[in-house]
Amino acid sequence: MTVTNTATLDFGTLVPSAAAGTVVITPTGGRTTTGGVKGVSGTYGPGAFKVTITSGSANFYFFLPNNATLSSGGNSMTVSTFTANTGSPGTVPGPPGSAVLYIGATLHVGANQAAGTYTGTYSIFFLHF
Amino acid sequence: MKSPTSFAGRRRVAAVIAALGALSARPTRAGDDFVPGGAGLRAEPAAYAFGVLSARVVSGLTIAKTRDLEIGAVRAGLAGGSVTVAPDAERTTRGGVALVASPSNAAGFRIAGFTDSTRLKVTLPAAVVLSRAGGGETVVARDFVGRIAGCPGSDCRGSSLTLEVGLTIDIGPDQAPGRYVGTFPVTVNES
Repeated sequence: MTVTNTATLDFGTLVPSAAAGTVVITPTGGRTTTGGVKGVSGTYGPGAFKVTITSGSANFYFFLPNNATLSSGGNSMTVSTFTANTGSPGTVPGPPGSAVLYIGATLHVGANQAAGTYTGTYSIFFLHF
Repeated sequence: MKSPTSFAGRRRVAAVIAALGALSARPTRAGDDFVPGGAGLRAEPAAYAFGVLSARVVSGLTIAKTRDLEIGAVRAGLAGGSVTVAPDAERTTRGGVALVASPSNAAGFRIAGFTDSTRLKVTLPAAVVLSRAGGGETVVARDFVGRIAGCPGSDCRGSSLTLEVGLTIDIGPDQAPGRYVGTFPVTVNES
């Protein structure tokens, strides 16, 4: 099994306010905001992992993280509620074959969150028998 | 090379541990491949794959001038008239005013930081006064006209927009020669 991160989970460009809020990216590519956060026009999208299985079972198990952190300088935001476009186990055609796992999540934006480009990483545990 | 059956289970465990050990120390980059299972071991993978997160926080709607409006040179006549610079930079005259070949262009502004599915309201001034450099004479700029470049209809996409602004200037009979300069305000709001 080979797993490649093929797309960044991108919450896009956001405008904070005096009220905290959240930005939700769905595995299918939608974006919604709650609270005092507004989404700015531009690109955003779910994370993607290409899972390739050459032999053995067509099933792959995956375990999403509980949370992750994005940071920009000394400022940070937390990410929770990771979701995927399929339950675990996912399947690939074949094998040999490959499938793409799409990942969404919820970003928590603080009140008057400082401007900047925030980046971070998250990890998914993959298991194949 | 095939392993004896009695060792297969142990080798699988070893493969998993080797994969985790190797991956935990890996740098995390988008596009990284994770191919668990060391040399000589059958790949029975369990692996952490790392994904990249990104978000950009901005302060909100902004508008910035990218280019001054340059009317260019005109020749005043005995009769008054006017010169118009359209948003597409085309110059036309009325009355006793004649164009003189010279550089001219419409004003340019970059609008960014607007939110999804919003309506933008751009406000241009009704009229402003330009004064002759080094003198007290004036001309009046009026009929400001704006357009969003590359945006047919009103459904504009993208993370920034380019606003182009033109205007008309009234020139009196025997207007004093010179360079006339002024400023005009442009505001943009979400409505």
